[in-house]
Amino acid sequence: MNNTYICSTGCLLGIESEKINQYNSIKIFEPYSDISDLLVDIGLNRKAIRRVFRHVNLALASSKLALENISQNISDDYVNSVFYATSCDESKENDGLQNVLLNSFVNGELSYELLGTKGFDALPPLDMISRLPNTAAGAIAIEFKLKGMNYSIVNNANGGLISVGEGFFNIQNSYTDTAICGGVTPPRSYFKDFRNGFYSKSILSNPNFYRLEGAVSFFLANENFVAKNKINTIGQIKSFSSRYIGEDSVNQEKQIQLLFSELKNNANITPDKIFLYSYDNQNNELINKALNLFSTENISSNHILNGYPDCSGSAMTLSILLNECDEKNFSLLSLDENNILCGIIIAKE
Amino acid sequence: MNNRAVITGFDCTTSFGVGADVFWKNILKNNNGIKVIESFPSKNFPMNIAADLSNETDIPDNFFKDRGLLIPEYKINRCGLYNTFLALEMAGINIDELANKRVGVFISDREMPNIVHYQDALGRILHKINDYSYNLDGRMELFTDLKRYIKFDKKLTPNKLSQLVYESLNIHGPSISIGTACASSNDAVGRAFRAIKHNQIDIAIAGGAYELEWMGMLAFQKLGTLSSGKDPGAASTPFSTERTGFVMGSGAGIIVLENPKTMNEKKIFGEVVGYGNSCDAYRQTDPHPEALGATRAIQNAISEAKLKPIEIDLISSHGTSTYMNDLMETKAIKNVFGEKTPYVNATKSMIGHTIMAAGVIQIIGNIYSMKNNITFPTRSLTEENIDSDCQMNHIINSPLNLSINKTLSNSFGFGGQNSCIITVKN
Repeated sequence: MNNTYICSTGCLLGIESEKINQYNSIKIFEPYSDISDLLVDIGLNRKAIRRVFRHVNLALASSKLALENISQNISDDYVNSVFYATSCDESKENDGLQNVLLNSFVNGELSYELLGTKGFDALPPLDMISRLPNTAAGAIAIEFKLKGMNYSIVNNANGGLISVGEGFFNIQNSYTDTAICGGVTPPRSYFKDFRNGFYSKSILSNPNFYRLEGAVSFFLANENFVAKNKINTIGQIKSFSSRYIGEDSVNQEKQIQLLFSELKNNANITPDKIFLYSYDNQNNELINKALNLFSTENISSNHILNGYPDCSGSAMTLSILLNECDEKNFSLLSLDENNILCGIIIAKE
Repeated sequence: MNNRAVITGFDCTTSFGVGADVFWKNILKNNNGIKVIESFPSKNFPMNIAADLSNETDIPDNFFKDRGLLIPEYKINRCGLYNTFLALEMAGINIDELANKRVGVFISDREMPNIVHYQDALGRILHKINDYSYNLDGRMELFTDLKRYIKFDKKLTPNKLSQLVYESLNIHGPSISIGTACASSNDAVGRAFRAIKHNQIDIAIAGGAYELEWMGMLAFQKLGTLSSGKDPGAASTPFSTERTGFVMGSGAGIIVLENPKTMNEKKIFGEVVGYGNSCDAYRQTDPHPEALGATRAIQNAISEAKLKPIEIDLISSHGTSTYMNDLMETKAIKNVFGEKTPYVNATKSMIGHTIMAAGVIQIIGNIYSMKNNITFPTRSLTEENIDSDCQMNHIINSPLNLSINKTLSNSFGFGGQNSCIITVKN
């Protein structure tokens, strides 16, 4: 079994909340604004930026940041893979569904005749590509010529962290030497915001609610790559695990304990501190339950990015912890909309 | 020491109907599952044929009620969940015991829940607002309107079938939904295989599901990938000179994999022994012209299986019927196997392209082929219309009787995704 090292991270976050500015390891920008200057500063080509979906640009930019001092070491001598979480880009510019529907109604009723003609004409040519979950993973592979394994994780708010877990699994078992992992939260349309439950009165009136988008990338590598290229690593992944914890409260406690036992046993270390990330920014009973289950002295209900939904929130939290927390070893647990709890144990270098 | 992952149960839904036997009997007869779309009025669409589920294809409500389950909202999820129960029953697994076993769910289903469900409401609201500003007033107005038209479903998530499976069966192990476009369910099976191999779990439920809807169809059409054929019987013709693109299809497929060390004695239908995944790193929508990525994926799968190329008896090809894919796939197969290739067939000639379910349905076809030592032909492919650049050992016209012990399933997707699975007879 190979050791899996985290060599670097890159993190971009479009968010309105000022509290995030306290973290130095992430680049903050105004969400839904023109970010081409920022992307060019990071190293993306200005012309190419216009041709690519916004979420893909974000994923590429965060990967550029992660590979800033490493890209010269990546070659076909190694198996280089990508595991990345994405959902489809529904930003204003890319939302073909809205264009189609706006051209397909007569007197308030959907006309299938218009749908197949005017609606079809209004559809952007690459709409399908914006809808596929693996577009960002494919774009990263193309940009950095990574020809190893490549897949996208479609696991809601846990997606980013599960992608890191996939990088760990595949390096550990020798299927790849290096991996770019992480996730991107694309800009959303009204439709998707609604689907995600952002249009409830309580959320709209909640001062903690903010619009957001962003991407985070991790560069992981095995011992051989790290040693040969003399990479200064920032952490080692000791274990990763995930479980569906159900909705019944008694069973939830059992499942949380099982998850944590599995994590600890596989890691062979007990983390100094446990952090928790949850998909919603409300006080979650489950978080309190988990806090009570473990030794409370060393547990922190960390709300760094709680409520930051979709594909990158959990992984972005991990990136912040890696770069900015003082503990030698720590664990991050992440809960998604469907009561899947996943956890990772990190030993910092 | 690595574990083996044997196939103990499987089931699927295709345009031929619900059930793996229904699928197998029809493809063996070279039947056509492609027809004019019934599920929405498609007369004026640029393309109006598909291998869609017929209006009669569905699961009776009682199936879910009798098990104390809510009836899934979308037909493909009803079928996929039914397929899962049937596959587990075939495997002789007591579903009441799953909660205490090490079980994982690896199911790929559509990224976008069925948007068609909301089309009327969305259209009305978009017309009314037609303003994308993200200010609070706009949100409140939209919220009020949406609430009038749409029942809010908090759990309308992209990996809905996975969620239905682990919730319905009380499965607590890992659940990973892989999205690699048209290669998704091959990757789901591959990841499940490795989860057992490396002792993460003892039982895996793996597969994929996709349901045709007009938005996806229009978007694929706009991309120029769909067949221009008007005759449902000849619109999907993989590897032929007459191919003009793929025909979309709906489908779901589930297989159950188990670690033989932890299961009771039972019937084994095959074994997954190799998985290859690679990326072209070339272009988003075009495959590598020399098929280097696909070649690596096939080689990796064969290498993991500890086989030699010559030992593969049958390739269930990706065979989409698009010009570029079929050419690329032929190159990849020849790069690995040389001019004398194993026998090749293509399910998409009969059941269309079921996108996220395509790979697992091919694997199910391979299981039947190994079990019965007979396999199906590629429909509409004849000696006369085979593209000279796609010459391989194609099975054409009628089923072929032969000893089939080792099979390969190829799946490739946009983004340069290549995924290959090797299954062997036990």
